[in-house]
Amino acid sequence: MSVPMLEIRGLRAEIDGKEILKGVDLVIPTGEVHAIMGPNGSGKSTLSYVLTGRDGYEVTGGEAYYKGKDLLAMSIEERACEGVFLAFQYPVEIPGVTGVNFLKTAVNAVRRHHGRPELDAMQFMKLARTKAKELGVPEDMLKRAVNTGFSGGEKKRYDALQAALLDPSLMILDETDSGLDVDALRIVAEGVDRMRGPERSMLVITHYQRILDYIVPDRVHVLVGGRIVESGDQTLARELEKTGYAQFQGKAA
Amino acid sequence: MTDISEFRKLGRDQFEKAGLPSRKLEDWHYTDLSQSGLTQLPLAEEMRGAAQAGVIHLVNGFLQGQPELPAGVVLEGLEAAAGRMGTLLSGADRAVTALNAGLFNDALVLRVSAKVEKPVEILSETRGDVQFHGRLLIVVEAGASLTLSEIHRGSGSALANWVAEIFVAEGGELHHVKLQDEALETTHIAALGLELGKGAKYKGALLHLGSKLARQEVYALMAGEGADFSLDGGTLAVGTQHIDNTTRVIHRAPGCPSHQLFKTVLDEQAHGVFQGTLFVERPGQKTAAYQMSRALMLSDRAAMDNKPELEIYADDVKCGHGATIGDIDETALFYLKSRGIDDSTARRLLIEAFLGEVAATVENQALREGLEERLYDKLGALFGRKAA
Ligand SMILES: Nc1ncnc2c1ncn2[C@@H]1O[C@H](COP(=O)(O)OP(=O)(O)O)[C@@H](O)[C@H]1O
Ligand SMILES: [Mg+2]
Repeated sequence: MSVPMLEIRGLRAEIDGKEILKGVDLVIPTGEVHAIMGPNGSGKSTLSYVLTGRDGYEVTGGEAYYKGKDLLAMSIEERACEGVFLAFQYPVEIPGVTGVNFLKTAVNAVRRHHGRPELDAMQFMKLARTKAKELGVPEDMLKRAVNTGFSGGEKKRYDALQAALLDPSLMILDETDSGLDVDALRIVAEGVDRMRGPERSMLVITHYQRILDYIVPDRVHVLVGGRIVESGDQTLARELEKTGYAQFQGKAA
Repeated sequence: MTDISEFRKLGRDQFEKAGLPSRKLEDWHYTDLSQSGLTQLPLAEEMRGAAQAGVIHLVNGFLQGQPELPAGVVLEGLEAAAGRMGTLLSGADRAVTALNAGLFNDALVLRVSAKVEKPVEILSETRGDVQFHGRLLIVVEAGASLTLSEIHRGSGSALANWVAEIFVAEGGELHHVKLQDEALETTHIAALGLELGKGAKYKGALLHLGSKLARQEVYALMAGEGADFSLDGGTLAVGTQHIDNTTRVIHRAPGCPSHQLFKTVLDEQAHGVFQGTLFVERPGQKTAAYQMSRALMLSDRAAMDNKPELEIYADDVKCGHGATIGDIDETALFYLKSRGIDDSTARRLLIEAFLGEVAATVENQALREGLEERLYDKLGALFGRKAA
């Protein structure tokens, strides 16, 4: 069997001494889209931050391999350059840093990492314009400061745009549907779905099933109380929509 | 003061009595010069060279050649300015200003009588282990306007002691950019006195990058109704640099807006000081004054002293002031790094954004870009790779 895109074994993590992830096991083969569903506070965002290396999230046990490499040993930027991308539940406002400057710096950092030549201003703008159009991101958003004063929906689109520009192998989408109205959800989700391919895997974190109508997952996992308590195919997501998470609360204890 | 020789003598006498200021003086509490020995340095000798195209070139305060000036600006003799000289900046806490009065050589006196588009650019070079006392006096006549740029740089364990006095008459405007980019051995002390007439406007941007020790004093007098004062200051200090901004904005006339925003970035053992007093006199009704100091600390060995003060004697005023000291925003840093940007570049982007806001206030495009470029270069040199 080939090396999976992501392999997590018994992952435990804590914040401020409080254990949040209590032994997560998850394998995402290359080319597959997996969804993680779970109630608020179950540790979904924590898992996304642990996988991307955020400070303050201390791994106390287990391991995670990305394309067979020890993910937890890499720095934040190394993980990103290697192709791990997190679309944030709450994208961050950065006043004073313009989108163009930020995006171009990021794109070129990743290109440099792979020994590819950097894009000059013109080449970058051409690429950015094309991708922005595909995702319904107005061009003037590129000139504004990163996420500053953007609506919830604009921020999510902007994150999706970054994914499109950075061309990652593993996309982690943390509640990308939250804060989006039906039309915006469709544009963003279809944009993400277009990025599906045999060389790319996705981990779609969501509380609600609706985004999974656009990005139909190969597998669905239920995260409750810091553990994956159930896995199944896409029908599990529909079931959960009806029954809710209450049935699992006992299992997590 | 009408007689220049008397003015000089008074300055010398005042300095002799007071000596270099120590922290015992309230205004100098955070910046002590008493042990600096700066006045032991030899006085700079006269240096004259050819003029440089496009700028007013000064070396140790001495004017080089006869500068070309745009129409509407004339260089005047000392006598023409004698009546105004020293009228704004006096008092016991101003011994260093008094020393300047006693020892200055050339005074650059400019009179502006029209709306002048082309900026007047001053390049002041500090050279050698000397003390020098440079002086600037600018009169913007009613309805006239000028954009003035000052760049201070050079080399040497020098004392560069500057006094600038600027008078803007009714409806006049002065846009002012000052880049303090002295060598890291130099001590740069500068006092700016400003008087704004009715409806006059001053818009300044001040950026400190250099100097071992720098202190910029600003004394702004809102003398005429509706005068508008705005100053954005930026400081980037590393090593053991010590940068002090001390301002006093006096609202004497009614209906005057004033705005001050000082941003300071300190790394290693650098020391920043902001002392600002907003002083609203009894007639200063309908004053709208704002004063803010924000410091970004990159090291726990760096220190920032903030002392914002209000003294208000009018009853119908709006004054906002405050001071913040913070670390770099970890969430923003994580966001940038999670896109593949390395730690030092990510930090630099955030610092660049923080200080870039100061440069962004400059309306003249060429001056703004010049200031940004110098800032980005310096940040690039300090924090690694330049942004792509
Ligand atoms: N920065 C933090 N400090 C302390 N506790 C936190 C922090 N972030 C999250 N938690 C706690 O960790 C648990 C999981 O949170 P999170 O991963 O955000 O859940 P989800 O994304 O599934 O809603 C919650 O109990 C939450 O209160
Ligand atoms: Mg969450």
